[in-house]
Amino acid sequence: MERLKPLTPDMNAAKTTEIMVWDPLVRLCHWALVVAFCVAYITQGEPFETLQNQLNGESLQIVHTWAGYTIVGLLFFRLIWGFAGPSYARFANFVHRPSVVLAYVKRVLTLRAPRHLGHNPAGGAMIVILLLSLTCTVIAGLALYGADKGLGPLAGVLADTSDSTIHTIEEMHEFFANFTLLLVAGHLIGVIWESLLHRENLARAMLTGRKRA
Amino acid sequence: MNQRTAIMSAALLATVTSLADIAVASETKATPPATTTAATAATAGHEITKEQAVEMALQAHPGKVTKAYEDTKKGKKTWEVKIDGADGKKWEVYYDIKTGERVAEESK
Repeated sequence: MERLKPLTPDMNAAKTTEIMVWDPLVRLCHWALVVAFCVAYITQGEPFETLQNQLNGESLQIVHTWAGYTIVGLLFFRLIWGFAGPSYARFANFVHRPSVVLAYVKRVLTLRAPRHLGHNPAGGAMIVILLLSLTCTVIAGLALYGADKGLGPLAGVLADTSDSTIHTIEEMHEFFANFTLLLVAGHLIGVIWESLLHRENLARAMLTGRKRA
Repeated sequence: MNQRTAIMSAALLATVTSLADIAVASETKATPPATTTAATAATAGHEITKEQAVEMALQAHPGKVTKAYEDTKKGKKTWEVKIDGADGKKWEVYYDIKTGERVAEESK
């Protein structure tokens, strides 16, 4: 069996050279979205009904609403940052045609996907779908808040909404929230898969902002 | 933090604050003015307590009360009572706090 040779200084340098990829606002936006979505889901999501029944309902509603407003603010920010941010944060850097995304997914599944410093095509597509799903969730949430409770920015517009329409809006809000959760699961699987494939900790990179050069 | 990052941080803060202002202003507008009937009912002692709301809800839908709390429904301050009904359904019944009137009921 061949003995492992110690790394030379040059090899060490190559292993540890890292560059800043995710700027502070992209990271802040990412983790704030994680927290806000979790808070919103736990405070009103059906799987947590038993926990919700043990807590103050009025407070849960307030927290849920403000988590939703936070998500709206973060989505606005991400939209602007996608055009005005640093290169790795821009949509132009990671949004690709569906054919490119599918070709990349095939290469991922055959373990031959090339490494990308920024988002890879599949990751970029997932981010766009996640942002769209979150947008649908908050729009339906704001509509429900206005039509059902008579509160929020849309209350005046949706004051006379019928009960059947309110029920439909509620179903849409729940559907998109659950769909977003499903996408989050897919995103996590993708992160783990890519981390193993390219032997780098992508979750850590979203914390520190740095990736191997 | 470079200048662009600082500007975007300020813009994000301003967006959330503006949204909060709109929400608070709308919530103030959305609450309908108390009608003469509601005002009369309140001064005449028709305002109901949470316990009364629970009692009324149980009469309408017998079962086990899982939760009762103050909530807003269609711009009205209500008592929301959640019941695991004896009929196997989950009920949510809303009573106007000022008048005791049933505002809505939903089953799942």
